[in-house]
Amino acid sequence: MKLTTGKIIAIIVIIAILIAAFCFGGDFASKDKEKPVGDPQLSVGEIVDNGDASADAQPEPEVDLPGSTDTMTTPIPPEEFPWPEGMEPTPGPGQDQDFNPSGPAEEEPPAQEPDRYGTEPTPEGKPAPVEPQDVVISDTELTCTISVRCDLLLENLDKLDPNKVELVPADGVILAPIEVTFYEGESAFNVLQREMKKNKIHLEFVNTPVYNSAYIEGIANIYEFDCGELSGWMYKVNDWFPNYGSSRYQLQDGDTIVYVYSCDLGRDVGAEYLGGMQKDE
Amino acid sequence: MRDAFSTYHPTINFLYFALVILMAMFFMHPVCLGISLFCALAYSIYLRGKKAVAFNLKYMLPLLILTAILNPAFNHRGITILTYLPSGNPLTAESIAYGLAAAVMLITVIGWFACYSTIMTSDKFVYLFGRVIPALSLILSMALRFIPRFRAQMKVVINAQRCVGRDLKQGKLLDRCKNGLKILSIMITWSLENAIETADSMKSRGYGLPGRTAFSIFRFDGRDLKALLFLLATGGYVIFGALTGGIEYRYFPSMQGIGLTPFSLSLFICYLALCLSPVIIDLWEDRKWQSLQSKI
Repeated sequence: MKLTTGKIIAIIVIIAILIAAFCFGGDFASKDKEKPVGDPQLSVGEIVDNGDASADAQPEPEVDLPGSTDTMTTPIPPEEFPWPEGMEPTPGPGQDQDFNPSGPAEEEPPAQEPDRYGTEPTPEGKPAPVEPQDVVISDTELTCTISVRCDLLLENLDKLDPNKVELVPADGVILAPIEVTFYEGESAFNVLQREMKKNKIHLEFVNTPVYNSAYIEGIANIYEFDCGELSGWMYKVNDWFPNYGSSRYQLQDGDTIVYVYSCDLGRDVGAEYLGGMQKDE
Repeated sequence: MRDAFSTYHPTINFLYFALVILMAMFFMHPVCLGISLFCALAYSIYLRGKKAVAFNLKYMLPLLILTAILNPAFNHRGITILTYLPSGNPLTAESIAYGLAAAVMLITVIGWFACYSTIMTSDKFVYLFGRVIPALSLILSMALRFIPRFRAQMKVVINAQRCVGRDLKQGKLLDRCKNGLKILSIMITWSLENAIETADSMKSRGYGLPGRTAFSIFRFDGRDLKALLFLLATGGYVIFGALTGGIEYRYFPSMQGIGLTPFSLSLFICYLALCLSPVIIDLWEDRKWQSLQSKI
């Protein structure tokens, strides 16, 4: 096989296509856009902290961006690009995160061990996860409040999939806060599923055995990743974003559950730990 | 069946199939899918008669149903919730429609490829690409011919083995297995050797060298030019229409798309004309032939 001009041209064309695909697809475009859109102050600051913290904690900070991530970072200053850090399996001290796009993520003091589903211990005063298979649901009727909102989409309509724009309610409320009855032992996810069915709202989820929880892919046809790569559904109970899936959150009487759509991995909806958010469930 | 379209220049044949197969893969508008499916079935039946009908009923229909059922089992998007599946996820009208559309697209493309293999014989393919990409076109034409040749040779080998007493259908199970393995080993040796021999033979005949002529001689005449212009005009118009969103259709979250506007109607008619062009050419040639005969 001789290396003819034609073959050289073909190689150049292939490389050009790959570069073009890299620049115009995926990460690159949305990250670029994000800089002006988001609130750089807050997130950049926090990320820098975070990066430092885990860099200190890790013996070999250099190694943490292998091959692919390295190329991804080239156009973006490292401090604005937190992901590779999050993908690190080793939890750093204090406010570190362990983000996993397809399931619950966790953080918290490094001293304690994560449980068998990889969930780090919950902060003090917050309920620990309860495995749904161990729960006995009793007949005791309790009440809680549930609502589903996607206000943040209204601010990010430009990033939203154009096919989905018509689905976003004008006020961003998919299910207004409503007091519902549940049975003792039920999880936040049980209540969500029942209410969605009752109100004829679409809900798609998938059970993730690794995290022993349901992962909510879409509510009302608004799906994860519809508004950029960092978007998806999250839930909070009494204004706390649990670090485990909603199938494992056992409700107490009077709890307030809110499912919110985040366009920025939870930072924009106020999840406490940067990136250590809970991709919904 | 006398097929006039296959007597056209290979460029025309190849351009036609390239256009039609690519469009079948990319156009998701239900009307386009219907047009393409109808034309692919019509042409394959025209070319191969009863065999094509049997093939379509035996393999394509079950494939269609299977694909159409599989989609709603895994895809739960769409705003029209019909009922809930046992898993707890909704069954939506959109996912059923999309499953059906994808299934139709799949069998349409298979149908087009069946027509393609009948029309674009390997000498045409090598004629077209033998100079530009000699190695690849030889490999492709050898690969495409491999299965039919393998089957034919297998019959020969089985018969020969039967004559020397190594029948597949007699004796103990263990002996039959042994005989079967023997045949398989013969076949694999044969196919490897055959591939090397073909390559050597082509090389020794100067395949891939500049100035080498093709086995078949094709002439690009006025008839081909007319067909080329027709394909370019209709194909270009349909592609232009598709790029400007003239046949846009979406299935999720709700089914929605371009209705029957004059523009989209003209695109559909062009698409139909493009897909049907070989059938039209064939019918037209048949009529010409008959009228010539009747004059005699």
